[in-house]
Amino acid sequence: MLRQITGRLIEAFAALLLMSLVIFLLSRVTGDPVALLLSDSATEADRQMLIEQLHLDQPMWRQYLSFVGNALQGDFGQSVNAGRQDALDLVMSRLPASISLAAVALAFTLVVGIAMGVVAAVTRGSWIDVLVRVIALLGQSVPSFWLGIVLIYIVSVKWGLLPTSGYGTWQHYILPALTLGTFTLAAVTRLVRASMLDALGSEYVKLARVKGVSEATVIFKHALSNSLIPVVTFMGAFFATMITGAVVVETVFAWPGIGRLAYESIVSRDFPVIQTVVLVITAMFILANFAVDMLYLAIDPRMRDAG
Amino acid sequence: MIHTTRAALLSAAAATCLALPALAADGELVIATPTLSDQTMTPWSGSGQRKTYLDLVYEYLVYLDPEGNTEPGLAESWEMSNEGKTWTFHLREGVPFSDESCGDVTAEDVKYSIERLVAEDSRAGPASTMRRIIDTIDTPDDLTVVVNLKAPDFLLDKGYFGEAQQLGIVCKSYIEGLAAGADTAAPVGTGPYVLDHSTDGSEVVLTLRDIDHWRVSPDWETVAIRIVPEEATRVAMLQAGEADIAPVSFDSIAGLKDAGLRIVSAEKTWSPVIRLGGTVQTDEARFNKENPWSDVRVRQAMNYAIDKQAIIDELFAGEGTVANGDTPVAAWDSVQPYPYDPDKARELLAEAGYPDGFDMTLKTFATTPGAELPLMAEAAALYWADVGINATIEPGDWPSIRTEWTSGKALDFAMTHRGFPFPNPENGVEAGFSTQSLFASFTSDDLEALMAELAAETDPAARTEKLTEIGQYIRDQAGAVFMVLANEPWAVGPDVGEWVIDTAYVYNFDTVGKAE
Amino acid sequence: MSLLSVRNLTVRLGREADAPAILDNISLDVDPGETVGLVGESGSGKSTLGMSVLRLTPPNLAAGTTGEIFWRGEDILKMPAKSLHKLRGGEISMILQDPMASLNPVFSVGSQLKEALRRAGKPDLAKAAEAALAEVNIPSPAERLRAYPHQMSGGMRQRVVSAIGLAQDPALIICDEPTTALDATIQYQFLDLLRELQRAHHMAMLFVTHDFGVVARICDRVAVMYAGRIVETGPVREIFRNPQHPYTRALLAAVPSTSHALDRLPMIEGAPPSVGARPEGCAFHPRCPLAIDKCRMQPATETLRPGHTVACWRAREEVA
Repeated sequence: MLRQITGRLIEAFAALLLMSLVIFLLSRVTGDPVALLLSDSATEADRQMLIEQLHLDQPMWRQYLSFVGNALQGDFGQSVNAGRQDALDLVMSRLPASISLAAVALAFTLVVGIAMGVVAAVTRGSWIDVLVRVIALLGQSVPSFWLGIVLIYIVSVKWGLLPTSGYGTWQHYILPALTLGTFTLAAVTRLVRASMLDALGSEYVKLARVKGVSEATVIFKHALSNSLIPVVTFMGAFFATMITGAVVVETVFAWPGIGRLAYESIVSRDFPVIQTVVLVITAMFILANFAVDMLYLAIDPRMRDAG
Repeated sequence: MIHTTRAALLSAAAATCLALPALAADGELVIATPTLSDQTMTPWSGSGQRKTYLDLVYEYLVYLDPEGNTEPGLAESWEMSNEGKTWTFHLREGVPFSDESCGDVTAEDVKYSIERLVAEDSRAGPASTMRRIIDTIDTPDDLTVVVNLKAPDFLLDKGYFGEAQQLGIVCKSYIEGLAAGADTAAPVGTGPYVLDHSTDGSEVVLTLRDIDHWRVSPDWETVAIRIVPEEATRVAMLQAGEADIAPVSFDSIAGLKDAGLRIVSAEKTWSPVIRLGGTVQTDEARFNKENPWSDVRVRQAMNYAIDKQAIIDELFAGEGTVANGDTPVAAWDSVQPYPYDPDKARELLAEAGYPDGFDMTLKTFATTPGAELPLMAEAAALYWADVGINATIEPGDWPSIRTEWTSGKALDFAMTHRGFPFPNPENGVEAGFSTQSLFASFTSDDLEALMAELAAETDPAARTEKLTEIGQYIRDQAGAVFMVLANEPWAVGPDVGEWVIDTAYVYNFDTVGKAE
Repeated sequence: MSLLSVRNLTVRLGREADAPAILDNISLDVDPGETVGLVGESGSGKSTLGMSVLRLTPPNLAAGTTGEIFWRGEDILKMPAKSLHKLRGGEISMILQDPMASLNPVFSVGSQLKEALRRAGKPDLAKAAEAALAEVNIPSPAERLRAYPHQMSGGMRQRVVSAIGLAQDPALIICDEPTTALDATIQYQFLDLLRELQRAHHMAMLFVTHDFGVVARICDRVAVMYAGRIVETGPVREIFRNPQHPYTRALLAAVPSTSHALDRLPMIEGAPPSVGARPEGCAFHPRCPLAIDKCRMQPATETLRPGHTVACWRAREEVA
């Protein structure tokens, strides 16, 4: 176990290091922040001074090395934006909003997606099955932006039930989580439906029925527990997608998450913030996958022995 | 496990139905703004975009009325001497800072505020230019500040020291007393509000000070400035009563009026324009003679060819006037814009040797505000096509285009841009048309000479005349394809009474009235 | 009275009267304590018959089911859900074909066994579970209860499945090719175990197989199925001594007499017809070495001796 964890840590570190190099180079391909930071009446001298201040005059490899060196000591640099806020602070201040929204959205997707998948599988071929699949497909096809705006107009403006946007109370979570979760709903539903059908046709479900246990036990205990294994496999990816892919949702709902921060920092070529966001997201991916592996162990006894 | 989660969701859904909508509280003024760039709290620690909230906390030496005339601020009076090189400000007595230990504003506070704003580590927009002109600052007594300049600035009061810029007066002893450095500073100023809290990426909330303020008596206990990047969401907030004030796009105006909301426009706060690359004639590296538009007749033709009023009506909901220059300048009021005259355009093109027109590239991008720029580019290209100029539109992003521009690589294409009014129009002319500015998009030896004359002139009336002359010259030379002097529309909810925006960056959120 | 009495059972692929029939007019009896073998190649419908008895066929087959299946005189096909629920696993139980797949991989053996024992109302589940495993000769049963299926060998799993099948003391146990997936030596062990258990529990057994070798070892009577019909039934001895249907003979010929190994493949040329493409008349005639024109018509089922019936035009003439 200890060896596994050590191995994992080394892997994680290597992934982060590689990612840091990739993002370092990628972010610098498309220009630099200097032009954006200069005031409209700036002169060449102003530009040189700014370049020096941001250490952009040093060769690329040295910039990278000092970035990695500082990052190892927990210093991810400052935003090059006028505010010059500490990049890590900035990202960390946005992270709770992102994680909590992703968690709520994931919970929504899982609960509804699993329910819909089970219903569709159990009623396979009936109109309910067709309806569920159509709903799921619609959820995937509807652009988040459109869905978010429509929800705001109906639920908040027309009915006055929930706040349009913002962050703070639990009411603020509902619409963005719904919008964010709807996209993955189709995937979860399809996944659960397919694996439920497999499970329902399996010999162990047959055996459970032969034993005479109730249909509910057959479906929810025997079939569902097995159907959840593929869902768990994708859960890490879902969660990460919800954190990173939330740019649109965060924009529409004025949600102060890292998706928007990432987008804004890319637009303003704010290298330190871009790098920090990406590394934090990478770390989240790694953590999510680790959590998934742990969940696997809990749910699938075969994994426990596989080691 | 599944059953419990489902039950939780159901009860959550049930509770939702009972929840009350989050309407803005009675004494709370909610302003939804697309961005605050960064949420730092001292005048020098960031860009002018923060003025939405900083202006409620910090005050300026000089204020401006809606016509752009000066009004006393923390300086009760001031005078210019030494041919524009010495400015003496007499401070108002007994204006207390929000932090009691700071006492009242003194000359030392003002001196400190100026020095911090122009310091090398300042990140305020005008810092570098101000640093170039400010020489020394004297404080002969507690209420007098003498600013000595290296070069004359005849409009220091309206410009860098005025409310449209960033010289908010801070409390020296407070900032210096901060062990952890100024970046951790809470905003301590003399304005009517103090900071309640600031949530990064989300909102800045300010509360009214419990004093008789010398300048304003605000109607709102709380002002909350919320970051809402999406226009449709801002509109929804206005309709749901969650926001009282929000900037909106021209597209939304009709719908909002139908919904019973008022539109308050800040007039001529920005100026969409098409700049022509490679026309900095005084700098070989930035002058490209190969461009058809290196010929003044071609530049003029490009102006004549476009029906700008039609574009204003269609794209800007009529909220703007045909531009006579690249930024709004009061002294240029007499300068006539190019009329729409395609025949004249064809004639000029033929004279210049392009009877069949030419091919060109027009780069464009969308910003906030400035979502209309790509459509404006399309419209311009359509009009140009009519006279034979075949423009290929290249959508890009502002950072890339601005990088090309400031590094002298904008040589063989034209680009859409949005200009801003400068509180001191001379600064604007310098930024746009002097060789030393990285952002210069056009200049010539004649223009440089005119600007040198302006710099040397000391008589105010003569200076205004010279400025007008410069505007006329830039117009006649067609230094750009001037498009629109555009308004900035804001939608205002039913709880808001009287509110006037003077100009760009002067929002007056502390004088927003309450509806009866 | 027979314990189980199937009368004119027809199972079609759907409700329509002209839908292809998987089972065509089957009649079969199982008496208390008796072991009846149901023999045929795959696709003959023998497994469907087993599932029909528990009404566990898929919905489209359930819709196309006609006839009667009497359990102690009561028609299972008309039974209310509640009685049916009691019947399954209770009075009638089943051992499935594939021990590797028929245990749920995510639950421990003990939990799956206890599910059945709980229904039987055993007071001390842990003890009962241990006893149940011990009964099927699983060593150190207490430990094994905590094991997961993947931690066990195929033979061991099949014993667990048997223990589950027996947990509620059924009066009839349907074994659906329970040895097919097992190694030859383990097959024998398992069959012996089954026979022991049967005696101990006084169960009747309906043993579905394609292997006459297995039939010889365990069954009292046998019904030979081909393409959804029973083509011959009779006591095992009688059928071995005096097989009447050419198909029965072919199956018997496929059992190696010298070897102990129960090799599986019947050496009959051709393949059984698929459900939708069964020939007119005797479905076996295209593969039958004795086929004549008449075989294109369905032969009636005649009784040769008490208990021995056959459906073949050429049965009498070929009595050897």
